[in-house]
Amino acid sequence: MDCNYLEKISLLVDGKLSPIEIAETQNHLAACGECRQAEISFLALREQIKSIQFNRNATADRKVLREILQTRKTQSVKPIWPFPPYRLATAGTMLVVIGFAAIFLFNRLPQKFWEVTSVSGVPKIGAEKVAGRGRLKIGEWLETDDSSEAKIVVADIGSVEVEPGTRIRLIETRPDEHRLQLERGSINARINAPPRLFYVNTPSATVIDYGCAYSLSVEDDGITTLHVTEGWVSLMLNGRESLVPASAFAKSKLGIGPGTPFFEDASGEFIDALTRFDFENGGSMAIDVLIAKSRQRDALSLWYVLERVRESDRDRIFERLAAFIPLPENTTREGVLARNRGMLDAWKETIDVTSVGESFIGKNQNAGNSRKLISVGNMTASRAGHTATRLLNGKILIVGGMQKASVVLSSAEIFDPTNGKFSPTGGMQFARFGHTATLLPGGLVLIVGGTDANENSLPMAEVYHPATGVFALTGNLNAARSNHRAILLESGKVLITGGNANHSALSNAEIYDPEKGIFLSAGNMTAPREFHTATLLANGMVLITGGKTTGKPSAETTLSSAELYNPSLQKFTLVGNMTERRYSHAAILLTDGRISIMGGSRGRAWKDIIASAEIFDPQRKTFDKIAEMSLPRFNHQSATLRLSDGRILIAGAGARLEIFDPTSDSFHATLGNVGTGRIFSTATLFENGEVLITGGYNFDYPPTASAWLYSP
Amino acid sequence: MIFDETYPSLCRFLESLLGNHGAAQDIAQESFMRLFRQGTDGIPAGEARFWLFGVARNLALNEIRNKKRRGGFFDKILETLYPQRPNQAEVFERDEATRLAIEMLQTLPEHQRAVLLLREQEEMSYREIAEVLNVSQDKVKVDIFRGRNALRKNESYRQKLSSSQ
Repeated sequence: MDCNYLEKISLLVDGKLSPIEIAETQNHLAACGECRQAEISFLALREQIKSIQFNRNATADRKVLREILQTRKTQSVKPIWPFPPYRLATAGTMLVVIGFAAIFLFNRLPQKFWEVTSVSGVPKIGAEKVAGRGRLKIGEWLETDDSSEAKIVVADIGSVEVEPGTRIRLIETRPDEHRLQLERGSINARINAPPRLFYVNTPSATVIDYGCAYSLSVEDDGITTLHVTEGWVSLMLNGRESLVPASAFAKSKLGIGPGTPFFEDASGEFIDALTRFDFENGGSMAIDVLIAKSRQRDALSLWYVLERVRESDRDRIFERLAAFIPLPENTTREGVLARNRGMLDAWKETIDVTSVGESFIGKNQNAGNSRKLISVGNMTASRAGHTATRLLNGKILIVGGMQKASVVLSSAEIFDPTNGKFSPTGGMQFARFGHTATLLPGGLVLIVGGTDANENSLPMAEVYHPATGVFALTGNLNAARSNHRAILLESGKVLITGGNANHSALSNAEIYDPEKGIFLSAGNMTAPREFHTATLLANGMVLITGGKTTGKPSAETTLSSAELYNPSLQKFTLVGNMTERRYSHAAILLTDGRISIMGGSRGRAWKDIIASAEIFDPQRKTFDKIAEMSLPRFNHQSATLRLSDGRILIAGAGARLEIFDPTSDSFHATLGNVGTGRIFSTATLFENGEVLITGGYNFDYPPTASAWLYSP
Repeated sequence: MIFDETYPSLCRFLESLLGNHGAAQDIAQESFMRLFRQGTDGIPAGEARFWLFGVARNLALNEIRNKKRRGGFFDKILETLYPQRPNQAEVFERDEATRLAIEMLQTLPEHQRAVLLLREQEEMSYREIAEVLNVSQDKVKVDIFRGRNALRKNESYRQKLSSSQ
């Protein structure tokens, strides 16, 4: 018979016990030989399973990737064919019917295509030969062989020459986005349009146009080479970006991302050293050459090297760069060496003006009156699941968040809209993500709960003092919680509802009294909820909707129910059901008193993510379905807000921003996008109506530090 | 990039899960093809790794079921006539400790093997494992414990393993 404590030992090994349970278990361990042996065995097993190793051959792996990329649009390697013939016949008949219906409908829709002209030889669109003129539709491939060339008209914004031996595909063409995929070969693009309308995806980068002319080629090993002849072009991958000016080159490599831009007249030795530095772990030897062989015009390249070089070599690059281009005002050696974003950017502007003749930022701000979305550089840290709160002085306080599993931040920073810069402020006492931050009436900010690096929910609360930049502990919550909701009530107190307490959802609520600095119980919701919404209504009540009751991530544990909190009675009452089960959705109060409820997941996280939306009418206490968002989204609550003009901005969980218009109850995409879809990002409204968008996960896992400014 | 970050560990997971080199690589490749075919738009940022492990595990389950189905009388004859031996390269690729650890894992039911591998090799949290395998965190907790406890009691392998290391 096994000791009853053995399961606790397994949890202990995984760091899953609370401090009290740890103490109990340690006491037990002192007395129980079987459990002591089990702890040792479990840890030894961990090492044995971890030590399972197969010799991997990186070249063979790359070959697999190439095969995948080549065949990804065709049949799978091992087709799995589980259907008996009679089902196939039925399915076949249905497909034919659906096919005819689709053709009928398609012919009535406006067609999306680009005009293609054959310049020499016989290019192909799909399997069809293009003699003279042809049309490239969305999703179709255009291929040139060794003796053919083609020219494409890119809607009304420019043209692309397709050189021999090239394969491209049209991915999207809309008034606000034109996107091409270049799988191999070369193209020459000339675009005359506002920035960020024309994109090219290559296997190793996304190429973003800022109004310019450039050549782009992709070799068999996936390396992208960009040569800009006019204007600016951005090369991006995994949140790493190289902005390439006219007369300069940059390469991008699979798995690494964009390398350092360099001018076409740079010396061969300088370019070789850059290649070693960017893609071959060049180290100090490459740095020696970069320093010895650089000219003043190479300052732009050195700036990128400074940004990316390891700390031990940063000093030497700094000295060389400073000898060519002195530091501008208000920047310091220490700040630049510490990679202060604002200072690095200020120096880059000076370098741009000297070596390119125009500043990227200056140019794009001047040309940017029509631009709704501009990059404002990076936060001091990458963050997701953080909070961003506008202070009474107009600045934005950004707190905590996670950088990857088990790396959780206590640090905080301030964005100053008067100079567009991020700077660190005092840190919290406890690292956390999935917490809440609430601006209190006196200007202090209340930080509540959240999750720490060991995935434990926290009972600790802190208060940020903007005058001193200090986080001070205040009373503890009665229950540890994360993924809860906090709402400032009309009384100036803060209502905290539900959340997750170490893997089970809570139904209880608490009230924070800022004057006394304590949390008091505020009764129970009608159901346990985490990832729900809480929205203050015009009449002072709070609407709580949906959420998860925890356990297996499924439809059964996802709620459609909604309830109202009455602060004067301190009571929660069921008010009805939404039209859908939702969690990780967003709910925003409209100026007319109704609430717009958007997206979320029906149950199994992103597998059941939805675009649907509905409106709650507090007068009639009804939920009514409305038009859908343009994308399914979830975990976008912290990046969804009401703009000064009453419309709603949805800036999370998708690269493209979206606006909800309450006069027509409809959604439409807005110009520009933030590069990659982000969940757990934030959006915060400034007094002047602009919005700061920060952080969130990007596609390839790590959260990003990048930030954007949106002006409606 | 997702391929470089995830492909080797996905192969390792599948090889440990199936105890079979070739099938593991085919399944890893198929999983990536499905990801690239469907595109990454439908998958929220940061979730691609979990998506891949989830898909790969489902494909591995199919493989295990098919293998069982194939294990009829006819196959037994074939096996006797043409016993399947690992090829030479495969033998060299595995050191003794790896071979024993994999054999030991094969003594567990598949669901316990999967949670243990995700926990110990991939260092996923209970929550992440629950998401990948589409089960509750409570089940993850119990399966991890049961798997560990069963292996703890499997003295023969444990001794061989400790002496091989």
